[in-house]
Amino acid sequence: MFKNLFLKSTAIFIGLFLFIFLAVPIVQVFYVSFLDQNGHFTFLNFYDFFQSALFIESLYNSFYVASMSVILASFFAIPLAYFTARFNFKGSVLIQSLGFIPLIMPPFVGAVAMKLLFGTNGSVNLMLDQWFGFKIPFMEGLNGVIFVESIHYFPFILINLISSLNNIDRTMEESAQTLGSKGFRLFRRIVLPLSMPGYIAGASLVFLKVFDDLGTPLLLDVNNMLAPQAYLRISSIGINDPMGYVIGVILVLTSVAAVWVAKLALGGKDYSMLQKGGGGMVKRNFLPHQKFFAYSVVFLILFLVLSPHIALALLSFGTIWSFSVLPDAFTFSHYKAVFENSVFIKNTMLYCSIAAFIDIVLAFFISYIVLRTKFVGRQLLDYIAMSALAIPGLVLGIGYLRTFYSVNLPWNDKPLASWWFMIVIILAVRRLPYALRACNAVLMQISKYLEESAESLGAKKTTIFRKILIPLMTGGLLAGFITSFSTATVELSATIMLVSTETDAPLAYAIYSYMQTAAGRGPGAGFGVIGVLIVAAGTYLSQLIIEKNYKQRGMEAKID
Amino acid sequence: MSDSIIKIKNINVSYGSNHVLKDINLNIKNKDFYTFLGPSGCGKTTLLRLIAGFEKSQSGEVFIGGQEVSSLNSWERNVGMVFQNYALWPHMTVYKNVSFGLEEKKIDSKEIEKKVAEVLELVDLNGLSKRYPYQLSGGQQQRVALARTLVVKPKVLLLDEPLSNLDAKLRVQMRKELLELHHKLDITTIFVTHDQEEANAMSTNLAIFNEGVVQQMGRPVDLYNNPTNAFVANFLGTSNVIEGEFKNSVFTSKNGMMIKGIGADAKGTSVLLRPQNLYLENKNNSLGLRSLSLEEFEGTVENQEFLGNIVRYVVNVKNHSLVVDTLHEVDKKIYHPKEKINIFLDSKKIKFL
Repeated sequence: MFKNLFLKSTAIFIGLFLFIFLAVPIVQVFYVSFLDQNGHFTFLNFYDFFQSALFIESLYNSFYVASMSVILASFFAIPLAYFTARFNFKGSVLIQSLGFIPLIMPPFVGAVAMKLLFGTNGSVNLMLDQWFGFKIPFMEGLNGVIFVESIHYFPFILINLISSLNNIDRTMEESAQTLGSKGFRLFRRIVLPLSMPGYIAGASLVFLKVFDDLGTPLLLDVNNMLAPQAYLRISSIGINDPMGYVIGVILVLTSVAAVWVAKLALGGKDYSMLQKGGGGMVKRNFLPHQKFFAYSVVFLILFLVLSPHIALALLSFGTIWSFSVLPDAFTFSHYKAVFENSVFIKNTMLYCSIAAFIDIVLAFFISYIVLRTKFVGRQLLDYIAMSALAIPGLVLGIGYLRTFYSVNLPWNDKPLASWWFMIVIILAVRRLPYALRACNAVLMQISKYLEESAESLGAKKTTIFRKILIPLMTGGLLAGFITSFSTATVELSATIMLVSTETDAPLAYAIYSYMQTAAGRGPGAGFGVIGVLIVAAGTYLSQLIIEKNYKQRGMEAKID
Repeated sequence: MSDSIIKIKNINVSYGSNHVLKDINLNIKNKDFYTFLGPSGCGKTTLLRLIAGFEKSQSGEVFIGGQEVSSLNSWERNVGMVFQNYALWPHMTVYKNVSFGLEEKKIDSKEIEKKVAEVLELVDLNGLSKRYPYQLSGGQQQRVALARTLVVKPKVLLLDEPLSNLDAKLRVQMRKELLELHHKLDITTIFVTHDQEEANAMSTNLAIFNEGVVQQMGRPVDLYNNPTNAFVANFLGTSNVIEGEFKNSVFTSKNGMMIKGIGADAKGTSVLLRPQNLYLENKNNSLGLRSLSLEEFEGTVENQEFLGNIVRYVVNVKNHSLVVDTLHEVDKKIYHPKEKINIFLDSKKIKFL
């Protein structure tokens, strides 16, 4: 009976944790948005929101930018996905790995550097002007946000679309052919509708990410969008200004709607069940001119995908870079500045490793409770933890500020919201879904019989955890830890609200604040490069661990 | 052979060094129910897909209705194919799945409505036209796949293991329904299967494939009675094939088992003994077999399996393990392993290979 008591109290503890640090702050944001100055219930805040020309414009801009980003991202993703799925194409490997590169760097990190590459007086436009006598306004106003965001987020569409296309059984096309269908008509009637679910899922994810993003518009000096408005209201007028909360509510509702659309697209009719063979469409060979075209497209997109990384690297090593194709000279001095201010890196390492450790412990118990016990409401635990995915970081940050500002720390009478550990907690809550997904994946693969046979040999629950489950799950737990850790290092939108002093600030905040001044760009880019390196190394490492784990599992399968 | 609708001439198909079909020649008569039978990997499905236009041959010709079709795309051949997994489009209703081929032919929508209704009636799917494939059972999905193919009136109907995804009971029922449809519509049908019972029960003619070569073709009963080689003999039913040599109306196996009274014209390298043509008795249970003019051998029971209607024995005769089937009746004696036994056969009915 002890084992059940332990698990039950763990479940209750986790539930309480999620309630206090996820549910309460969000509810708080909703609640405050309906309060007037005297604390009475009112719809007036929403009325005011829609009376303000600036807010209406921001709302429109946010929808415009998010929709245009989806369209531009589709232009990058669709040809790449189609080449991979339809043709015998050596570039497929390139495309698939290319898909991960932009995800390593959040868009705000490279935003300023992109201005130097694609801005009115950036490298590309200087060359265009010199050779052809015209410029393209890539980075003008909203264009800049759209351009940067779609370069970073198109992989969401690419990955989902490729997997959707690869699930189409070749007989789907063949049976249409025997009935007289061919060419574009066949594509339109069979291939297109069957690949729709993957596309919509990817597209809604892009929409959500762009709609919620705070850092990119701020760094590109675009303030007339919803997320920047919310941030500016709270940070300049104060936490009692209701408009920040109203915008928060709109952000949450839009995100939830986008997630819902994605779920609807993927769920419902189970296409893959009916297509038993799978294995993708019939592959064709390129004709010579098609091959040339395909490689041109791939290399153009490859250049775009790498451009934020290239620009960031150039910026971090360049002395002065203005009105010229390349920086005037190169130097290590920015990195010297970075290491003189290494407190940011130290903070990030500390915060993110604690946050990732919390994640992995919580995720282990949540997935165990959900998959292996029959506790009432266990599914709810999973849903709530996963729902953090749909909550914009900015809104969670606002909620924390509101909820924990009035609570004072017992030892120095400062507000709880300004304590550095709250940054750790918010990072943990934000990244919990990643760790949870990793844990669920491994635990689902471990046969229940492995535990039951240990139990029948007289092992106690704690022994089973220690000797069976944890060793078998080590790979998955580690991969989850690394993913949570590395993606937390570049998290900005949630933490930006909670940084009270420079000495407590993490890396992402340093990138943001350095990038705002011309003199700070160099060191800011240096911090950016370090952030990207951490995430890249983390992604590579977790991929390696997952692969190794698969191989081990392959061996085990042969033994039984 | 003017009445053959499909003619396959000297077809060769290779994937790299893998020679999948070797010099295939076949004629399929109009309105035939023709079966390609063979174990997996024998090339039968490849040949079917070649006829449908999904595979290319390195050499040879395929005629459908007198026209050489090798240069035609699959959408220009007017053959109907039902896939093993049915390949119903999950994003379309039953009605849409069935009307697809008619829409591709740009037929007037009133006409389409009429034809779809007719064919759904034919396959007994009335009232399900608004359902999606995932809302149907396996048997219903199969009927939709058939309806979708039949509605465009193809020259031939190609069926790629259509019954393999159904459970045993449904399989037998669909077998009957497929044959009824075939008779009702008088459509030439090619059926691919690895199940000999299915092949025997359904086909007017069949071709047995192994390792990319047609081993034998003809009516099922002829193939069973007169197999040309050990593969066909073993694939159609169970058989004992014993190697040895014929000399002066006597067959002598390698282990020295001698069968006398064989026709003088017998030649080849082995004899074929079907399990049901071997008879058993012993001293505890005499059936009077000795009074008949049969060849007699002494043996020992090695193994016994009770299968219900028959009892299957493995009997050792001169170190040959022979399978013997005896019809089971309520009061009949069952022999046990290690029991000494006498085994009889009619040497006039023996087949040689």
